[in-house]
Amino acid sequence: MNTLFLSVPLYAPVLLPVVAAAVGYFVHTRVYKHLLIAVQAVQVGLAAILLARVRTIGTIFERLGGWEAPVGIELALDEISAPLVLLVTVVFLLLVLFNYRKLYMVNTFQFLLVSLQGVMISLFLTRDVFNVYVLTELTTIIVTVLILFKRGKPALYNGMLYLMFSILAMAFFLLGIGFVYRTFGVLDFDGITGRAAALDNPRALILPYALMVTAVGMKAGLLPMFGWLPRAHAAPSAPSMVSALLSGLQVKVGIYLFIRLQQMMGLTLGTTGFFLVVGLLTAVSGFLLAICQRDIKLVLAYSTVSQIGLIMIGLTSGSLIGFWGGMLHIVNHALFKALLFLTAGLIAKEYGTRNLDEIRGTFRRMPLVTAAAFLAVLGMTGAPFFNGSISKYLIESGLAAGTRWQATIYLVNFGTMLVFTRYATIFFGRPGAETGRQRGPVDPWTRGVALLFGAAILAIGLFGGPVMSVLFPVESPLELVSGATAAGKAIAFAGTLGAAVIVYLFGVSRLAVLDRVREIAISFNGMAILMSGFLGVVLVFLFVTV
Amino acid sequence: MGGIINVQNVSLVLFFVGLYGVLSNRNIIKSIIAVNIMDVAAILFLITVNRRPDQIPPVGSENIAAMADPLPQALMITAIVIGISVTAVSITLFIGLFRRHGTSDWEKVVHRVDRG
Repeated sequence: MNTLFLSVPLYAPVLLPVVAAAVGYFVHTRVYKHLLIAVQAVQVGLAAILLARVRTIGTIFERLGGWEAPVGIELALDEISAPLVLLVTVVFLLLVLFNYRKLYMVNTFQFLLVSLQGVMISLFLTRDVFNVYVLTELTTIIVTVLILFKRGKPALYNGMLYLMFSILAMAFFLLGIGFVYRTFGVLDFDGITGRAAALDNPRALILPYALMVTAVGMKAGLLPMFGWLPRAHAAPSAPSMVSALLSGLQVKVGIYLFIRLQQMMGLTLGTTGFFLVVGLLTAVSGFLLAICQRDIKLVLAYSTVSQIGLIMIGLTSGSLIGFWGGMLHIVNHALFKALLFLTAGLIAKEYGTRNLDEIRGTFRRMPLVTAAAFLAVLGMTGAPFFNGSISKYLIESGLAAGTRWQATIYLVNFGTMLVFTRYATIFFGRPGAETGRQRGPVDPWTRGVALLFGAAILAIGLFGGPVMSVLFPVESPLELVSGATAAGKAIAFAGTLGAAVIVYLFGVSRLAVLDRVREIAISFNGMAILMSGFLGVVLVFLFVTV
Repeated sequence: MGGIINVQNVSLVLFFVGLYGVLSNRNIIKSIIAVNIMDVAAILFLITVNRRPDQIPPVGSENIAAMADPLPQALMITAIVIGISVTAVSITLFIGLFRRHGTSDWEKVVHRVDRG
């Protein structure tokens, strides 16, 4: 094996962006921009090398400063985190390229962006709950500033809400860390896992687990705690790139932490079934709220909630296929949701409005962008030969066969189609009369990157089997590789789509209740009550069952 | 440190006092203060974890067995710094919010934001 392959240290993908961000801050914006692109390209290479190493020789451990495990800081990269690190670097590279000509790429913005990448990757690498706390707080601050970057009107409120709600959740997390330390005397993942399994009485785990899972659930946007998510992800002041970043990657950090928490304590406590139900409820409420929205970005943000529920269903399905299907859906969702947000930003800018009902005929007016958005919609709804179909199929086959649970996947997918039937109405028809607006010069970078995203969505769909075996340590089911069930899947897709279009035309588009749902605004206190309620429900559930 | 009134229990009570403040107050400044109380309570809890009254401060290299556990203390300094910086950011945002909307009430801000 060559030396380059073995010599990439784990801290490289963390240190490189942070150092580049600091150095670049003092040079001219143009230089900074090119430095960033170079750094992102290197990052993708590093992540790919690390993934290859994890897949060949297993989990990589690394101790910083030469201290032993319980005291020293340990980094590790395993089969769950390595694909996610690669995902983060790839999406960042594409986003930076997308933004090549955007005016908001000033030094401060680029500094925050690249620092955020370093922090996110170190969250995937760290093996210590206290480091998780520190890094999450850091992410919160960076994300708050990014949300506020373009000074729009409701901007400050969105940022304030996100910041306060995150701090509140992290206070829960910190108290949870206190209970962990009191019970186990260690804070590293492996120490906790080992000692949790060896406990005489698992009831000692209930309080730390409930506190920490509430905080992590808030970060991931689970059912009663997603009130902040649309406001942060669809903030009018956030450039569409930031929305793409938050919806594509940032929420996935919460899901990743949830996986780790389940590994540490959840399995001992047996909470898998509980979160399967939470996932389903999140998915259903996500698409119900998405249908009610009129704002193009809010529809996408609520649809993120719905997809997170679907990912949770996969992760907690209790089978390996379902789990890795959920992981693949994390990757897929990052790709198509990022693309949807980017194209939505372009469309909203071209039309000068974010109201879905006022945008028509994008296909005539901006064909390339619409084509890319259309690919994303196909991936999203799980059309055959697109990436969404692979992960949704895996999640479905991970659930117990012939049960009602498999039917719920169809329900969630039906809801997604309903949402995107409404969303797709903007593609068709004729552009309105006010087309005389001065059109800016065509930006080849945005269109090129949008098509690249679309190509990735199609490629994962076409080569689902090989992609699975490269990214994840799981054998793809035979029928996935051979495509023998393609006809069946196509029929199921067409049937669901037809039903969704009919329900949309004769039901949803005429309901007045949607307007009233949209008016509901939960304030900070309401969200805090919902979060405390979630904590209470988890506690009651655990005290009854454990 | 015996009995029901010990530092651990006091910090837990403090935590839920803070939570009550978050749940019951519509004033943004009070929310910030309440979250801070929760933070401080969690820090107090962690510092006093597994602590006995006869322990000596972890300074120097003599009599290591009698020393208090230095790890929570080291970690909590970090947590305190984080708490301060996060509070600073939220107060900065609040100043901007107050200048724009002229109120420090969560509900009123929501309505002013959503209704234009």
